Amino acid sequence: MVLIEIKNLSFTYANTEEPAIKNIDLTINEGEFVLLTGPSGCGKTTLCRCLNGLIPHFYNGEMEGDVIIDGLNTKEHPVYELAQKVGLVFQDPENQLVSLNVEKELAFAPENLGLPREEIRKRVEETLQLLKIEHLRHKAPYELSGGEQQRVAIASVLTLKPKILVLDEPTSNLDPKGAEQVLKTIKKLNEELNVTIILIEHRLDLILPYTSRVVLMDKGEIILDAPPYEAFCSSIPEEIGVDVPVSIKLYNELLKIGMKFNKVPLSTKDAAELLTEVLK
Amino acid sequence: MSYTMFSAFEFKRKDTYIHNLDPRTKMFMTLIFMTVALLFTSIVPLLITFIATLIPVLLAKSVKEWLSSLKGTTMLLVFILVINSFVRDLNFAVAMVLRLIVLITAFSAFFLTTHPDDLAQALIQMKVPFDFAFALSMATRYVPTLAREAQTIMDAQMSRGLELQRGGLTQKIRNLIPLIIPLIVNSVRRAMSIAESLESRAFGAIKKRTYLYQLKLTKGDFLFLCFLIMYFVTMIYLKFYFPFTTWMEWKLPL
Repeated sequence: MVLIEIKNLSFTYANTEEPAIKNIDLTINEGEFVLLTGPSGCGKTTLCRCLNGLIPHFYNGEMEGDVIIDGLNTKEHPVYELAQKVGLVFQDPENQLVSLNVEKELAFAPENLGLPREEIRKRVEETLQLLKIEHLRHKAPYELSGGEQQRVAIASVLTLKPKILVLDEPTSNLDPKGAEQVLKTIKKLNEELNVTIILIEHRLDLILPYTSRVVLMDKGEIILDAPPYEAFCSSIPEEIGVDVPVSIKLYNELLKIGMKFNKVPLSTKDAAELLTEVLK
Repeated sequence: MSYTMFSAFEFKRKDTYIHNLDPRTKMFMTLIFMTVALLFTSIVPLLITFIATLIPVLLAKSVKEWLSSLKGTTMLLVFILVINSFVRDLNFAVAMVLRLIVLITAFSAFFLTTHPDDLAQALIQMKVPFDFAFALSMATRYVPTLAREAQTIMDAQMSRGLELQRGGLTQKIRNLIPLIIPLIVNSVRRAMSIAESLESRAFGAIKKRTYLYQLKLTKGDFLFLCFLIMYFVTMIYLKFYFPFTTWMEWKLPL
């Protein structure tokens, strides 16, 4: 089932000349795990803002084309309505946690919708359990580690029960352990609840095994849209300055010297397995 | 004005009778102590009020925090004592110092024992619009964040050669500019990104928002309110209907 349909989308921010994104055509189905990547300033964040209606409702500028989320055209529906379809998680958890305790943070979004108290309580409990953050319930944001903060930020949009979760570099402010916790959480949401994931991420080594599709952007346009192994076996990522995971680099080098494998290693673990087999 | 003075108004989580009171009850308490303190100008009734304000501080087991707040205001208290002894007399000066101590105690008894979120919720239930109450609770939420950011900027600028302690008073104030400008720029950026996140969580979707928590006055609150009213009535009675009682106007034996 098609959840996101972007047709010929271009956007130019107010007071700028160049469009931040142009001629974007993208269709995403339910349950997909899409990795969106590209050099900084390529328009990834702008594309994310288009998905829940922040563009055109919150940011001024000129928008062309249409974004249709689960049947709703973002031009015709306000952000709070779209927010129930698309949960947006940002880079800095500090700016997403506005309450003084975790429970309140989770309740914030459904409270805004005016849902009955029992329903809010139910959603908060479910989400706390799902993300295994029940023990943090009464903590203030500054008492949490970076990874915990970002998981609470994810939880705080999940209480709106979105079908789609868009995460804009959710791990770039985190240490490796925190990043891993967050990425595992995202994977779990995708696998167990069939939440469609669009993830902007630079730690490709960690995330590539989970993804079903890689979308590569450069200078405001989509230049590649393929399954992960295909995407990184082409020369395009390196040309635009996207870091190719070590495992795939190794794979490519081994191919050059004439070795043959039956699958492409997407993670360091895969690569290790392949190598042990070869070396036997 | 030192940092210790502000520590007086920093909430600390504890499980005591006073901490568990409804913020509205405590607001009323502070209001009553404040009114009484401003009604009297002689030592005895202010001393009585001071003892009365001590009771909630003792019950809240927050004597240490309260003392540190008083310590922060020592200079101010001495200043008031000296100025008033010159302008009026020592009796009046001592009374004024007592009055300030009562005010500080009454306010720290409130802020030391009231979670900022509960304060915001109390305001909402007192019909203050959600936007205002939310702005207030966000302000308290971001104090530590901004403090940390200010520290980072200060470290960065000092490692580039900024000397904060250099020069006279005007120069010292001017030294702060390289700290304040980046702090403001960062805060504006942060505000944008917070707004984005609020927007993405259906902020302002409908006028009538629901709340997960609801504050309720309990038996404990009513008991406390009874004592407060009894105290207030007594003090008013002493002030307006008993104006000639000599012990109330007792003066220091000089």
